[in-house]
Amino acid sequence: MDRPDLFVLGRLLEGLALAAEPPLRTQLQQRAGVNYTMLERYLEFLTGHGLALLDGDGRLSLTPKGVEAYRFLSVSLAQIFDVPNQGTPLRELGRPGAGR
Amino acid sequence: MNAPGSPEPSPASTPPAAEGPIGRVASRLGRLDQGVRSAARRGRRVSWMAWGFLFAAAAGVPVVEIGVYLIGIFTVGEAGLLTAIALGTLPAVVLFGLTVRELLLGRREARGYLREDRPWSGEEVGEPFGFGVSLLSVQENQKQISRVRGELEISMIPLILGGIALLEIAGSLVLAELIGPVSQGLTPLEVAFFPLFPLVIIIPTIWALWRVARQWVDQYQRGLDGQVRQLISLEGEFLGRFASPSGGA
Repeated sequence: MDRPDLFVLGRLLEGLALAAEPPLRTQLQQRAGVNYTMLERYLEFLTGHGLALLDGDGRLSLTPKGVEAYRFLSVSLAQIFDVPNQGTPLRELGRPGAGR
Repeated sequence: MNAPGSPEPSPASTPPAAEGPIGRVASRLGRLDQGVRSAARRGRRVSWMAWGFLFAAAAGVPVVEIGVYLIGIFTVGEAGLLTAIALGTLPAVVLFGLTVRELLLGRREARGYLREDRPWSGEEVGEPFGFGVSLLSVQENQKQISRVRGELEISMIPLILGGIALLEIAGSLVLAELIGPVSQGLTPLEVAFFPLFPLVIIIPTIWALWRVARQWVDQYQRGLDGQVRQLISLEGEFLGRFASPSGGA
């Protein structure tokens, strides 16, 4: 995938980051509101770049790199669209060089 | 997501996805998307009404002339002339009023959609992710707002022409029929005042309308232009940092 959509990536990362327990593909698909083909393509991207892991039970979870990617993306998007993070620790990371 | 230690599921109005910042961003974008679609509809309505106004103003000329001709036959006097002018120009005046209304509503609506502290509506909470929102949809919105801007700019032409036609009809007829007998003793400069007077009214009026239209569209365009620029930069930065072969956390 050359240019993944940041919002789709963000939804999937957020779906994984905020899940109480590692979700199955179908659960993540439902949370992120993407179709199956798109889910497959983006999961390939996430696992291929070491952002997410698929365990033997078919459950998905974020790697530390995935957690950082999620924080980076959520802070940056919240800054661009002036959406408050409402006291989540995500603010702490900030986005270096986010020229606004 | 349930609260820690709570066996009860979360209420339906606060689904887990809405708790994340990306969910909130997507919801805001979904709302902006609605605003842009609404602006596009209003832009088209303004365009149709503006051309309708020009057509009605032009069509008002024969109506008024017929009225004046009938007045000549039946000699109903000045009140009859004013009635003919009023009837002939009424459709154009109504359309002009509706156009102004659409422009004002568009500006007010844009302020509502773009207000940062606007509370979430039930619909937005119910669909926390703003499904369908993507960088592409933001770019599409940017293009759509540019189209609305173009439509509104072009709409000013029929508004100016229709406005001049409308006021010239009324002005010249009033001059010819009512003031004509008196104007025999007027200087050319004083006579020129009457046809020029409508221009003095219409130019500031259209200028004011153009300002309203610009305020309306600019509110969206400024925001969208900046967002698209920053999203493209963010995309490059994200991919470079997390998805390049050498990129690592």
